[in-house]
Order: sequence, then structure tokens, then C-alpha cells
Amino acid sequence: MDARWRTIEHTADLGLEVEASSLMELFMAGAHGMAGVLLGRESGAAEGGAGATVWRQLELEAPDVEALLVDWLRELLHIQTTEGLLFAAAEIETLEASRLVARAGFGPVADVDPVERELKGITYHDLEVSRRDYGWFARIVFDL
Amino acid sequence: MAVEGYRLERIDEHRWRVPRTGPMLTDGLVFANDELITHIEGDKSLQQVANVACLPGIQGPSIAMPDIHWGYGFPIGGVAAFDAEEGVISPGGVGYDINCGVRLLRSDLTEEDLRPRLSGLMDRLYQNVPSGVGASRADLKLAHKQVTRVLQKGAAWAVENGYGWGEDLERIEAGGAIEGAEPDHVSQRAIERGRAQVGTLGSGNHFIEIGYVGEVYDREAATALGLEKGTVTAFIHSGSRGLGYQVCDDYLKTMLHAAEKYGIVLQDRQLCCAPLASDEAQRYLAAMRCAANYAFSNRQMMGHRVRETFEEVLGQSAQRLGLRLVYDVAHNIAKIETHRVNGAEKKVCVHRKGATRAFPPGHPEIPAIYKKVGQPIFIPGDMGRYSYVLVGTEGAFNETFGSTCHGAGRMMSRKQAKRTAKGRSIVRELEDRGILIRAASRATVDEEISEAYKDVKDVVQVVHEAGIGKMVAQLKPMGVLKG
Repeated sequence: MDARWRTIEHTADLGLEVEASSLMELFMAGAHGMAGVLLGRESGAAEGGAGATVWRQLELEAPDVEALLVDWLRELLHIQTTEGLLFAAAEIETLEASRLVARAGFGPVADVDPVERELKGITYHDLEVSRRDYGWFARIVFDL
Repeated sequence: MAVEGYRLERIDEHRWRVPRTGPMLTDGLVFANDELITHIEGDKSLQQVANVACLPGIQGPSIAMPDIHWGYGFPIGGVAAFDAEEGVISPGGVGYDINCGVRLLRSDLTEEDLRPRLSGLMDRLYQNVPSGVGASRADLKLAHKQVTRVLQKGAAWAVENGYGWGEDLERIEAGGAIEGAEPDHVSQRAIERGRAQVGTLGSGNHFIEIGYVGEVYDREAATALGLEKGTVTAFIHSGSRGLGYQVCDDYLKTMLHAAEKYGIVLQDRQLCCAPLASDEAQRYLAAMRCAANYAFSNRQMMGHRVRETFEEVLGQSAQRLGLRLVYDVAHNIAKIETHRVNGAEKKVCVHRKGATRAFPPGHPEIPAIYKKVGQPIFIPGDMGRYSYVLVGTEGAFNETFGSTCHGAGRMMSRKQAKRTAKGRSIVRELEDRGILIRAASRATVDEEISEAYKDVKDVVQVVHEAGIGKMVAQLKPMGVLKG
């Protein structure tokens, strides 16, 4: 299956559900989903965004795969909000249950497609990363 | 795993109990009327009240205000107090926007005086106060050392640097600076994020609202607060910006490890916490206080900008216009306070997550000018209806650890609100009703439509009738600056 993401209803905040055939694709689609949320989109695939012009090396460790997904998105959000860039692509070198090594690529935000939302944080609330018959599923809730 | 099989039972007209069950250490106590409770039951907020009731060292019930709605970890509109020695502190119980809060300025101007100049005032406000997603200042980027001074001194830093009046400080919760703020416990990343954001509004539900006193319910208290029917007010709602979000983020990670280290069973990982006596908790408290002080300084600087804008547009000094600060109060915070629990006074850590401190007349922590009437409380509604001014009560001090509601409370998700606003010009609709909107983004305006919120009047009536707040005045909007 092609990895995809969609936003889910939450009274005050906003959630993201991601489906992918592999864990690596799940992490990629989650990153694309968060970039989509910043632009005000409601669903999409694990692609899109501006071409990557800036690359960052990330090495993350967390107690488990759920916390690792949160850390991954936190790092990407930090770069996006502090440098005014948008996630575009990633090359994941290592992805284990508690460790991630990746290069993340970012591009400029297009004037015609500006960032619409401020995400205050990525929460552990209702967080899920689980195996499904099609591959992997994740649910993440953002604080808006 | 979340608490299962919790129930809701009525206590009286305005109170409901979630009886202790399973891992809960205490009951839940919910303030609501018949109509509000149906909204509350419609989302997961009661589940969250039950989850909070499971945290170690909780004192009294896990409390929910009538504007409660589904949050992450703690419900938004939740109050929970923990024993200062046996209890815990949780960054999720404060939230990302540490010391998000509200400040109100009053004036001698009347609505009629301002109406012809309103459009110009709103235009200038929009230019003078950076707002919108990731708003930062082009004119003021502090050095790291200056940020650390802001974190220690709060609003006093702003006043010392020419942003505001000395008399403002006594009219801010904790005098605008919470003691025990230690910048050494704030990450470099957080400090970096704070360099160019002091004096900025941000986006989402943050706003500056120019309005007027529509109704007065309690003349004595209104007079003490300087509010007279028909006079112009300015409301500022914002928090600690990216610096606060980063402090929360940093310490959530710390607390996830700490909860495991101290063997704390979590019903929701966002409730991760540490015993108050632990090093992790003390470091978080010190950092959270820094972020809280940053927020006081942020609102102080915006208050100064509001005064400057009135001066610029009306050609009179802010002093002459009587643009005095009424008060500034937090609604996302954790504080060590003394309360009476089971008949004895004790120190507790009160988490107010979307709840406002509501101290009664005579309490030593409120300014001398308000000693007789109680601490001012501001409850913003949505941008199309009205907001309320209340004062704190003995009832709140005795029953809710000196806390009351904080706003209308969302009823619709942002997606639903956008769908409801589709095909409509919300700005035009409000303008037709005499409310001018200036906003950095149309999406924000659509997400913040009046219909997305409960009627704040219902929320305020519940706290008033339940005795955990006393209605003083209603404010009506004339112009709203949104992020």
C-alpha cells in the first residue's frame, strides 16, 4: 500500500492518523503529515512539500517506538518553526524500536502556500504505533 | 491504560461527581448545568478527569470547570492539587503554553468616543503588535543574557526597560514575577526561541480585543476595578510563546523517564510526572516559573503597545485616557500554595490547566486595591459575543483550591468550525454587527467562529451560582486582533 495520512477531529487540538506498509514509511508519512497540517491540509500521501535545500543529520533515542515517533516529529517541528522551513524529504538510515538515524531535508515555505498553523507541541496523549494487517498504523495528537 | 467504567452522578444543580473507581485515588468533581454536562459527556474530558484522579498525592477531588473540554492528558478546564511532599508535578497539567493568561486594561474613554476612530485603531494595532503563526519581532532581538533577565524578573524587566508603568506590577498575579525561577534549568533551545518573541501575540485562540463595559452586575466591585458601564477596555490573551512550548517539550521527555524511574503508573503518557521532592520536579518547577515570567513580560510589553497605539490614534496620553491595568492573571500554571485540606492548612501544588486563580477578598496574595472585593478574574468569550469580569470568592478558596473557569470552552473541533464557516465571510458578518476583525490568517478566523464555542454566559453563570466566582461586569467586543 502507499503510505497516507489524514487529520482527525479533536475538540481543541488536532490529531493525525498515518498508515504505511513499513515502519520506515510510517515515520516518513508522519513527517509529511505534520508538514501538511502546518499548511492547513486534511489528508495526503507521503510525498509533496518543497524540494529539499537544507539537510540535517538526526540521531534519536527513546524508550520505545511510540516515544521515538514523537521525538522524530519534535525535532522536525523544531527545525521548521525556528528556521522557517518546511519538511520535504528524509533518508532514514537506521530505524529500530528505540533508535533512529536519519537525514531530514527541508525546503523554503512557498509564498503562495504559507504555513497556516502553529503547532505548540506533539503530545503523548492517545499516542499509538501498532502493527496492522496492511503494515503499520500511527495516531498522534498535536497541541494547537 | 485509561480508567474504565467511571460513572457520573449528580450532586446538586451545578455539581456532578465522578465517584472513585478502579485506580482512582479520589472522586472527580465537575461544575456544570444540565446543558453544559451534555456537551461535556460528548467528548473524552470526563475520562481525563478520572485519569488525573489516579495521580499520586492528589488532594481533594480532581476538579473540572464548566468550560472543560477534551485536552491531552489533563482536561482543559481542569484543576488538581497535589501534596507538596507526597504528590507530583506534571508538565502536561500546565500545558505547552505556560502562563497563557489574560490581562485587562480599562479607560475613561466611552464607546461613542472611540467608535469613529476604531478602524484606524485596529489597523495600527495590527501593525504595532506582531501576530500570526510564529510571530516574531524584527525590532527587538534579545541577547541570551537579556532573555535570562526576562525569565527572572518577568514584567518588571519590561517596566525597567520602558515598557509600561511601575504601578502595573502590583496588578499582576505574583507581581508579574514568580519566585524560584532559575534560567539554568531552561534549555538553550528554549532561550533561543525566546529571543525575538517577547511582545508578540501568536496565533490560534490568542487575541487583543478592544471592547466596552456592556453591563455591570456588582457596582462596588466594578468601581474598585475601575469599570464603568459604556467605557472602553482592552483585553490581551497570550502566553509564553515558543519559549514556553519548548520548556514543556523538554520536560515532558524528562518526566517520561522520571515516571518510570519512580514507578508511577500513568493512565495516559501525557500525564507523565515526578514526585515534587525529586530533582526532576524541582528543575521543571524552576524552568516553568521562568516561562511564566516570560509570559508576564510578554503581556506587559503588549499592554504597553496597546497604550502607545491609543496615544498615536487618539492624540492623547495613555495617562490622560486613564488606560490603567486592571489585572493580569494566568490560566495555565502550577503553583505552590497554602490551602485548607481536611481541616488543616497545608502546602499543595495546584495545577490549573485552563483554569483561573480566584482568590477571595482579604487574601494576602492579592493587591491592596482589591483586598476588599477579591482578585479580578477575566473570562473571555468568543469574538462575536461577550466576555466577563468576575472576582474571586471564599467559595472558590474552600472548594476548588481558589480556582474558577477560564473561558467559553470549545464545542466544535477546528475542522468542524472551518466546515461551518465555509462559503461565509466571517469578517464581514462580524463587521455588520459592529465588530472589526484584523487577522493574520483567514483560517484562524474561521476556526475561531462564535459557533465553535459554548456560550460563555452559561459557563460564568454556573461558577457564579455555585459560588466559585462572582460576576462583576460583562464586556462587549468592538474590535478583535487575531493571530
